[in-house]
Amino acid sequence: MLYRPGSTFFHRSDPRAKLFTILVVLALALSTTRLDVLLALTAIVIVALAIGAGLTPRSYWKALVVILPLIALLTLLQSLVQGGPAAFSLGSVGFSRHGILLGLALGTRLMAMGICFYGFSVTTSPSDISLALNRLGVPYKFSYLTSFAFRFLPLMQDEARTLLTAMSVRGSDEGTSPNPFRRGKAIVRMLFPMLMGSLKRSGDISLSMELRGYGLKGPRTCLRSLHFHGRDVALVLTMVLVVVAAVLVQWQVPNPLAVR
Amino acid sequence: MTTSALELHDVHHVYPPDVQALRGIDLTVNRGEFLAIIGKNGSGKTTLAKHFNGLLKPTNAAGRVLVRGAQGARSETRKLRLHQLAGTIGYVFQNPDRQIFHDTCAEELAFGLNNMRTPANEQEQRIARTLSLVGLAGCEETNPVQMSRGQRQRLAIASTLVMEPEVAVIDEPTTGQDPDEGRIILEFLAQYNAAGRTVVIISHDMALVAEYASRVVAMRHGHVLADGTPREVFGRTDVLEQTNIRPPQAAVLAARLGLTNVLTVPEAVSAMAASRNASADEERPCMS
Amino acid sequence: MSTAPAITTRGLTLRYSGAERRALEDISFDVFTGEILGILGATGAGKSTLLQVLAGVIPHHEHDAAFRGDVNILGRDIDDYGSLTAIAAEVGLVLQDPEVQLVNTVVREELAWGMENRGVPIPEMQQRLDRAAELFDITPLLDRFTHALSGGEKQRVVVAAVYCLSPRIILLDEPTSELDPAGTESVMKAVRTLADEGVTVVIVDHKIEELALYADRLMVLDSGNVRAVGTPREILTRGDSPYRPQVVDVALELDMMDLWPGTKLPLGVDEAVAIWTGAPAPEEVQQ
Ligand SMILES: Nc1ncnc2c1ncn2[C@@H]1O[C@H](COP(=O)(O)OP(=O)(O)OP(=O)(O)O)[C@@H](O)[C@H]1O
Ligand SMILES: [Mg+2]
Repeated sequence: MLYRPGSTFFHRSDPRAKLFTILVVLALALSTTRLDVLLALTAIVIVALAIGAGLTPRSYWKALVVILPLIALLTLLQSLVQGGPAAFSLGSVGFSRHGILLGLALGTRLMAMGICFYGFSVTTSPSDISLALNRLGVPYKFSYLTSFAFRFLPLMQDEARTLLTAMSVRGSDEGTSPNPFRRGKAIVRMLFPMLMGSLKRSGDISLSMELRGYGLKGPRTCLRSLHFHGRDVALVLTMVLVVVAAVLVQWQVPNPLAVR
Repeated sequence: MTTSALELHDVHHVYPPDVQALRGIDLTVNRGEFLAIIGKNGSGKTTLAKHFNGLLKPTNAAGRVLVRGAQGARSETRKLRLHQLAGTIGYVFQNPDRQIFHDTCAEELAFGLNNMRTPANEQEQRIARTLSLVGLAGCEETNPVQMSRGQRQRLAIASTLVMEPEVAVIDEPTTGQDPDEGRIILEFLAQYNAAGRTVVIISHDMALVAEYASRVVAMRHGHVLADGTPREVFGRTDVLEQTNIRPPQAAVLAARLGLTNVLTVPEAVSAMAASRNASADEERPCMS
Repeated sequence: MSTAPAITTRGLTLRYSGAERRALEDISFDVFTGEILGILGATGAGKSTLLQVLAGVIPHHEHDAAFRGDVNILGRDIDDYGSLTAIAAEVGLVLQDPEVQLVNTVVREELAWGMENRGVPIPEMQQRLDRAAELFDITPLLDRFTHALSGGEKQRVVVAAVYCLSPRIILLDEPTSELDPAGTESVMKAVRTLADEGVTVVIVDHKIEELALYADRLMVLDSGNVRAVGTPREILTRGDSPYRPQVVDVALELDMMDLWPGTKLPLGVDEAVAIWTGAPAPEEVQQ
């Protein structure tokens, strides 16, 4: 689970305002393929997270490094399939300038969305997400599942880790071996007991939920409540401004990188 | 002279984001001792035990855990991979269900033996003997899923100790066991210990701790609060109050009667009998 | 303790499908309103199965087993309840494994969750939550994540969460197995308070020294059969049973009863001290 408690601006923001924010970023990122706009958007996201959540790229660069090869691959592919003037050529193979720009743009888009999601999950507790969804009209039965997932995933992860270490503790090096084949063997060995375990466990979990009234008809109360403060209004308004700015820029300012 | 099996120097452990589970532990576990770690829930017992074989590493740079191997050479757990220590240090987790991964008890025990390259002809006999020592005689072909939780717990202990590690670390061996079954387990561990090997348990059952352990470490808030023989530790009322621990009932009874240095039932009996005789000699109190 | 039974079973017999022998064999007993019944027995004796029948888990959730015989909960045949939810409204069950009963991310929400589902008004919810947290000594843990607790801490949270629901009957399956002595005592005390308020309690546990002081009656199960039912004194002071507190052992060894004819074997330290020093026996915790 990514969530880390804290008291930064984004931690204290209403989850509905944050949901709106990521929706805006998502929409902007998906609505354009202009590299300059996408780069600006990424920069805004990075700066906003650094200021509003104390999250510097240091805390997520590892994840970014993982998607770099993906971006490279995307760029390579696009440069080969797209037409237009070549940026450069190797022998008889020409690499389209337009394609390269497009590939980089798609990569940047991924990055902007990824960082934004990361910031959201670090600053928003799973139960806040489910509460927000519930307040926005999602039936409790479904909104609860989002927070439940955050309880269940660490459980599974913990279980897998314990099983693997239980093997190591009894002298098998498969579970921690750098050799992927040996590791695969450990995982296969672990799979069945894990599966049986989680089957039984999901049965037990659903039982204990039922025993405590999950799914009862009738009104539900909720200990926690959400409050939309001035800062949340400000966040929403800022996002509206960002949208307006993005639209204006794309409409008025020609793409300096475009292929003429 | 006693040699050490394990040495911990200035071990801190912080779970993210900021739970201080261990706050500077210096501890030496001696070869051949039967050590019991006791303390309040959440005081760091499991976290400490997981450092013994490198399941967890100190989170401070200065913290070191040294394990003495068969040849007497000491090595730091930080530099080892888990399986390299398996023959030296055995570890049984608090929850039996997460460490059993075979369809039959015999296979469960054979897993560790195979990893230790134990010859096949030796395995069968060792498995049968270990199973019967934990009260599971004849269960070789039983599927662990069909056993009760208490039985699975004993299976988990057997599957580690069948490998005969120098040091056996067992987290709460008697949870969920009937008094008789708890005793079976402790007798088994005592026997294991009598063969010259080191046993470390974590337990909340003070009667068993008092009876079987040769040394008790009481923990509180990630510190070692008291360290000594059961008699010393259970004699320190200040420690007991701070660690949510009560001495065994026989000791409490004797203490209430003003008899000191009593830990077990036989001791309480003889101390009380002696005090009765003494007072009978003095004045023959009227007994209604 | 009143004399109306809250739970009655007659001829309760159960076999898991595919099992060779019966898990429960012709079990008949009553639990009276406001009483604490302790159940003792070796692992595999059928204790958990019995609790699951009383809570309606068998057959409503666990379909691998069906029982014969009559089970009556609060004056109604258990079959008449129709669903697990209907039974659960009256009967709280704490399962053996804490891990499967923590279904929220944060401890505070875990305690509130069951009450929220039932629509308990917020002020009352807050009040019950605070009381439970204090009773089980978990106030400092309220804002911690449920998956990052120690074994004993998890168990405290799970018991507290069912305590918050204030059911009329509460069934506990080894609720103190991972607790330190003080934690065990707080669970027993909490259960005693509930019983005094009229809640009926059935508790499976191995800690006989605590049961001796807090339970009204004890029942010993052995391979699915009821071996004995009686007051803690009747069950725990028998020289031939494995369930003997240390004070009983001491008293038997010293032949205390021969020395002081007419006194009863002590159940707890207070009684033993009183007998030994010749003072009149104080009221023990149980009445
Ligand atoms: N995975 C984890 N993440 C974060 N905190 C943890 C984790 N595991 C344990 N803790 C915390 O660390 C502290 C020590 O836990 P530990 O499990 O070592 O206690 P313990 O003495 O074994 O308790 P118990 O008797 O309940 O088993 C506790 O405050 C606990 O909440
Ligand atoms: Mg522990």
